[in-house]
Amino acid sequence: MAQNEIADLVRGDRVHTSVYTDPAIFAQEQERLFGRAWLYLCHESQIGAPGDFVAARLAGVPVIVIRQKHGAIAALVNRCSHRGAAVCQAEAGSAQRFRCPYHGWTYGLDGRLLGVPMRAGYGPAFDLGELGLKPVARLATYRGFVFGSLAAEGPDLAAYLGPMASAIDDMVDRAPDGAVEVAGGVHKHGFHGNWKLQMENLQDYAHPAFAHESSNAAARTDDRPRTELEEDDIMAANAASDFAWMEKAGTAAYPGGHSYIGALPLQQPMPAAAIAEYRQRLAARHGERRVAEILAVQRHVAIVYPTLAFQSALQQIKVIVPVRADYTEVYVHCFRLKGAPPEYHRAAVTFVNTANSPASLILTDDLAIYDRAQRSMTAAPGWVRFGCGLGRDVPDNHGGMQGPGYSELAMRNQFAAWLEYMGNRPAARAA
Amino acid sequence: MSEPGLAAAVTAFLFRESRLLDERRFEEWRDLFTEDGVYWVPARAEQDDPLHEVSIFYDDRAMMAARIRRLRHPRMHAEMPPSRAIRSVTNIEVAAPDAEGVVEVRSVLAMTEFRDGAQTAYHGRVSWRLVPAQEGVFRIRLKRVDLVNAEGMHHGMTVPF
Repeated sequence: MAQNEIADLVRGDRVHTSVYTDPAIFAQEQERLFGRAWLYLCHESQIGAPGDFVAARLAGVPVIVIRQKHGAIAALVNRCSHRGAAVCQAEAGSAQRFRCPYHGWTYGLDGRLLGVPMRAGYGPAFDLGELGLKPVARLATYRGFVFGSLAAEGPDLAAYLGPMASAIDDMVDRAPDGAVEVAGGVHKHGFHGNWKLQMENLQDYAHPAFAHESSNAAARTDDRPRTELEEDDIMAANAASDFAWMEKAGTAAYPGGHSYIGALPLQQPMPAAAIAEYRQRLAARHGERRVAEILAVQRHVAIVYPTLAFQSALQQIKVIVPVRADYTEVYVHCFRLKGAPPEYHRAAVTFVNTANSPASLILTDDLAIYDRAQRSMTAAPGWVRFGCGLGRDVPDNHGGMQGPGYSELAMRNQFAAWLEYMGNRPAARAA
Repeated sequence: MSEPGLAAAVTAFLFRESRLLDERRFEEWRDLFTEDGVYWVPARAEQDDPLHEVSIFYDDRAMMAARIRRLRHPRMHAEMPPSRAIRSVTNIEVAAPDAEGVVEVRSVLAMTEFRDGAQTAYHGRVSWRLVPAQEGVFRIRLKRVDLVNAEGMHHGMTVPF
C-alpha cells in the first residue's frame, strides 16, 4: 500500500478498521514494522550453559537463540540452507550441533555449516563457508533481556528502548541479588484477532469496570444471589470508584510507541515477615534510600512497542506474536527475583495464573471481546476511535507525554509509531 | 466394600460428577470437594509443583466459589450465551483403598464444548483422590486433569473440565 494511503488510515482521534483486518497491511507490518523493530527473543537465564538454546519468532521468522561455547549469544534462522527444513524442532534444550533431519546437513552452535553428506556430488565450487544458518542481523542484550532485529541498520537497543528501559530496570532492581531469571513456566494463549487489540488493551484503564465486571463482582466474598437490578446498582458504584483511581493512576507515553499505565490499587497477599526479609536483603545491596526509590516505582503495565509488555512489580512479561492479521499468539513468562524470599515467587506464580492463565477469570473476557471486535470490524469496516484525553495530555519529565489513567494517549502513541514505521520514515520522533 | 462394589460406586460417582458439570450445576459440583479439596489442571505434562510453576486451573474451594459466582453473573462476556458441553468419562481404573479408605482413581476424559459459535474438543487423563464419605459416596480431595495438549496454544477456558 502506498505511503499516502497508509497515512490516510490514521487520523488524530481515529484509525480505519483495515489496519486490523487487511492481510496486505499485515504483510507490510511484518516487513516495515516487525522487520525493523527490536523484538524480545528470550532471557539470558534460559540459556545459561554453552549449547543451551530456545526457539523464538522474529517478525514471523523462526529463530534459535543459542549460548555459544565462550559465553556469547547467537540468534540464527531455523531454516536449513539445503532444502528449507527446520534444523531444530524443540522449543528449548541443549545441543552440541544442529543436524537437519531431512538430509543430514550439520551446523555448529554458531551456525557454520560443518558437514554435508555426499559432498562430492556438489562439485568443486561448493563452499560450506557460504551456507551457514543465517544469523539475525542484530542482537543485543539489556540487563539479561535479549532482543533481536532483522534490520541491519537503525537505532541501537538502548536508543530504541529510550525511557522505557525503565521497565526492565523496574524488574531487575527489585531483585536483592541484582538479577532475575525465568522461572515458573509459561502460559500460552491465542485469539482470533489482530495483535493491536492486545497492545491497546494492555494500556487501557477504561475497560476493566465493564469488560471485567463479572470478575470484579465474583471477587466479592458475599455469596448472596443478586437480581439484575442490584447488579446494575453495584456496577454503577464500582464504575464510579474505578474512574477515580484510574484517573489518579495516570499514563505516560514515549517516542517509538512505548508507554506505561500507573499502578492499580492492588494488594499482593504477602506475609509481613517475608516483606521485612525482602526489604532487608534489598537494603543490604542498595541501601535504604535506593530501596525506597526502587519500590516507589508504581506501574501496572509498561509496553515496549510493538509486542512486549512488562508487569515488572509482579515479575511477569507478555510476548505478543502476531501470526496473521486475524490471529495472534501470546506467551506469558513468569520470573523470579534472585535473592528474594520464596513467597515472592509463589505470589508471582499466583498472579500470573489469576491474570493470564487460559482459564483466568480476567483474560477470558478480553479474549472473547478481541475475537468479536475482529469479526465486527471485518464485517463492518469503518473508523474506530481513540479520542479520550486528546489535546489534554501534557509533557512529562522524560521526553514523553502524560495524562490521566483513562486517557487513550497510549493508543494514539502506538498509532503514531505505527505510522512512522509503515510510512517508512525514521522511527524516533516524539509522540 | 468388595472390589467390584467399589469400582461400581466409583464409576457411578464419576458419572454423576461429570453430569453436574454438563448440566451447569456448578454449586453442587463444588460441594463434591472436601474442605481442603483441589481442582488442578497443570500447564505442563508431568508438572509436580502447582506453587512454583503456573497452572491452567489451580483452584481451592474459595477459588471455585469465585469462578462459579462469575459463571452466574449476567455479564460474563466469554459466556454469552452460556456454553454447552458434554463430558465422556472412560478407562476408569480404581486402585485398592489405603488404610483410611482413600481411593486413587484414573480415568480418561473427552469433553466437547460449544461456545461463542465454535465447537472445541478437549481430551485428558484425570487423576482422582477420593475420600469415602458414606457407603458408596465419596468426596474429592484432588481432581487433576492432564490435558493432552497442556503445553499447547489455548483459547479461553470458562468452565471446569
